[in-house]
Amino acid sequence: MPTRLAPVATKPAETRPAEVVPVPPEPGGLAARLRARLNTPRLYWLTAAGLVVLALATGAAAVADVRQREALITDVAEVSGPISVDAQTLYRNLADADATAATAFLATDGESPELRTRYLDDLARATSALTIALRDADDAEAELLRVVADQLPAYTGLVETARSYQRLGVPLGGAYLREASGLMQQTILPAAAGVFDSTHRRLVTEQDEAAGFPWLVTLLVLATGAALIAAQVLVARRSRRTFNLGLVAASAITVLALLWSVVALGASAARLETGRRDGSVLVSLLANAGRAALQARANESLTLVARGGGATLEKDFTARMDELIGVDGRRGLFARALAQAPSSDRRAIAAARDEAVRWRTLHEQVRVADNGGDWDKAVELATAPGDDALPAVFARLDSGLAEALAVGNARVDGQAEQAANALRGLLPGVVLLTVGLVAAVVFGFRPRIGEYR
Amino acid sequence: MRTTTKVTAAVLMVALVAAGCGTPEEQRPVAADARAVVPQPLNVQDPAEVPSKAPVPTCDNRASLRPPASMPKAGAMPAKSTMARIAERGRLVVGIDQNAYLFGFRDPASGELVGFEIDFAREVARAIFGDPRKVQFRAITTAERIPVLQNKEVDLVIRTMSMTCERWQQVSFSAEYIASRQRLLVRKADGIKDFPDLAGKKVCATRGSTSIVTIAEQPSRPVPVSTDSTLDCLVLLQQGQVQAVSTIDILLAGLAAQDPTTEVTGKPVSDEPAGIGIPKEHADMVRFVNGVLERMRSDGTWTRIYDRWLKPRLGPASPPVPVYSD
Repeated sequence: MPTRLAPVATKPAETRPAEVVPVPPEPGGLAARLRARLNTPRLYWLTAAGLVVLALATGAAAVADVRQREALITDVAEVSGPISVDAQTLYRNLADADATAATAFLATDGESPELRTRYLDDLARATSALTIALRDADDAEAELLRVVADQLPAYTGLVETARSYQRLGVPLGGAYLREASGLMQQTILPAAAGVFDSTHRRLVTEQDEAAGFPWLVTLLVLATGAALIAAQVLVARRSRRTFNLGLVAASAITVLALLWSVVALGASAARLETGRRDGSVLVSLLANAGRAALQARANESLTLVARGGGATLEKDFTARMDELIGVDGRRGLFARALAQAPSSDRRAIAAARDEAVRWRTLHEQVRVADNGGDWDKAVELATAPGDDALPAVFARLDSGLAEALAVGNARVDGQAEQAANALRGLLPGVVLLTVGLVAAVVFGFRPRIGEYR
Repeated sequence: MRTTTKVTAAVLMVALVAAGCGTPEEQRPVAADARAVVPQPLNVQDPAEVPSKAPVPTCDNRASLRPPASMPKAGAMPAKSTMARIAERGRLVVGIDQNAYLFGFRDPASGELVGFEIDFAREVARAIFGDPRKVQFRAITTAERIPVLQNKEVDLVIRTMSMTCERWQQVSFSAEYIASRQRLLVRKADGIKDFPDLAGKKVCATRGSTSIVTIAEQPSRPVPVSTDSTLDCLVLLQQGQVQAVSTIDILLAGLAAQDPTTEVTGKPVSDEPAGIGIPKEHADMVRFVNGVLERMRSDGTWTRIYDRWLKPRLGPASPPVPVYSD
């Protein structure tokens, strides 16, 4: 490859400079010859043409830039934002189905109809999120979604087998439930989490790109401004008129264009940055916290289902809990979400965090009972009704997280809309200003060039 | 001039066609290629790691301690004895299995722990307190059986624990309370009768157990597969991922009872007497439990419990003959 490129790169360097560069720096002879050739009208003509080309290039670059931003913002609002919400719905509901199946299994006096409905609703939501997400998924995401689609029927089959054996009262049911949960936690949930991570990356990248600094356009606008000043100096020197009305108008238009784009792009970028920081980044932390909480809940129930054989499940519970609130209850995903969240969200997140801390205390009581051989009491503690009992505490943690997530997701959407609003009118504005700029340059130079006819 | 145009056109055509063929069409996944992946229980080892056979100390693995000449009456345990401490505590703590159908499991109707081994624990409690309900059951795993005894977290372990010379060095055992032998559990429809039919086939047992070693030692060279529990082995058998489960027949009977399409088959390939595990320091408790077992054998309690739980699956049996070392 390099051997092919080398000669092409060197060629233009030999020929161009002598022709194009208008004022060669050193040799006085050459400069004098050039000045002689470039009489005033020809110089004006060249300057005017240069200014028009520069103005058109700037306008075109600005149009392209704004259009690209608008497309990205539309994508954030209509594709990457929604698909990341679908991915959250998918894995939240899958994790919830798993936790619910395990909890329903613990009931000694028959399965609770509420938990059964919740499990079935979870599956319905997960499968519809799956099919909706497939429409906007890229190749890698589609591959992961296929893993979920392939394995989910096998999972539900295992859960139903487990239920049947449980009804018959034989211990085999627990073994099937463990197999089902293993499939969920080791194959299906990681795939669903992969989809979320990927869609989330896409979303954040698009927010970043749409909020990026418009280097090329800024550079071209500044160059146009500089060229206009240079042209006015030139005209003032040669025509002994201090101001050229056309060029002054052109300068004013350039300044206006610069101000408008700075304000509009700046406002749009600020909105997108808010959407990223208080929206998608926060959502990612909260979504991971939700998943960790649900997996911990499933492991808690499965440890009891295992009836004395759940040491590894309990270890997994501890790991998820540490991921969630840290060893001391003040670290982990919750602490990071609190640091990331805007102050309006913190109260809800902190409340959910406190429920998680409470849950861990209650969980320890369950473990003490179970490890001490009092399985009945452990199950009673784990399934007790009442506001201060474990299921209620977990439910508050879960719904608190869900609420905070909804706020975060709405923010991604809302800020994208406002970012789009900030850009409204900029595109036709840029076109008009470019036309005005070109017209002003032409009107500025035409009489001057005419004077020499 | 004309020819050049023609040639150019031809070259362009060829180039275009070539370009068309060369462009990789976006690969559309073919649905017909999808294949079901049969899920596995957690922590399955296939093939299983075969535990190295430690040099086995030689001993008479059935020999326990002779019961006392006269058994103390319930509620009147000899002072300073292990039984007196248990009586003082108010309950007997027994390590059991909650997942062994017919041996120790929860009755779905009542939620109570019931089974062959549960009844034995209740008989010991009856002998100490005069009340069979004064038992605290503690569900333990296979691996926990010896540690909980060594740490004296439980008074007894009644959990299909084979009496081996290796274990005798760490804990004590009562006299044999039920005979067990390693055999096979297969699907009736498969026509497998014994180990020779399992050449190169997968046979499941719990990880690190002696059953794995015995499977690996069979001349027909079956492939051992290990799981966390024998229940997971039954799951694998039902899903067709293994061709047989091989462990002691009394556990296999519990598995067969959960799936009527399976059966226990084959000649016994091991002799594994099951004893009640007792901390090594509690020799008086060993003698006491053996006294309880003597009584259960002589007054028909053993046969009554056996007939209730195991006779329908394993056929009629008489209690094992105790062996004492002194």
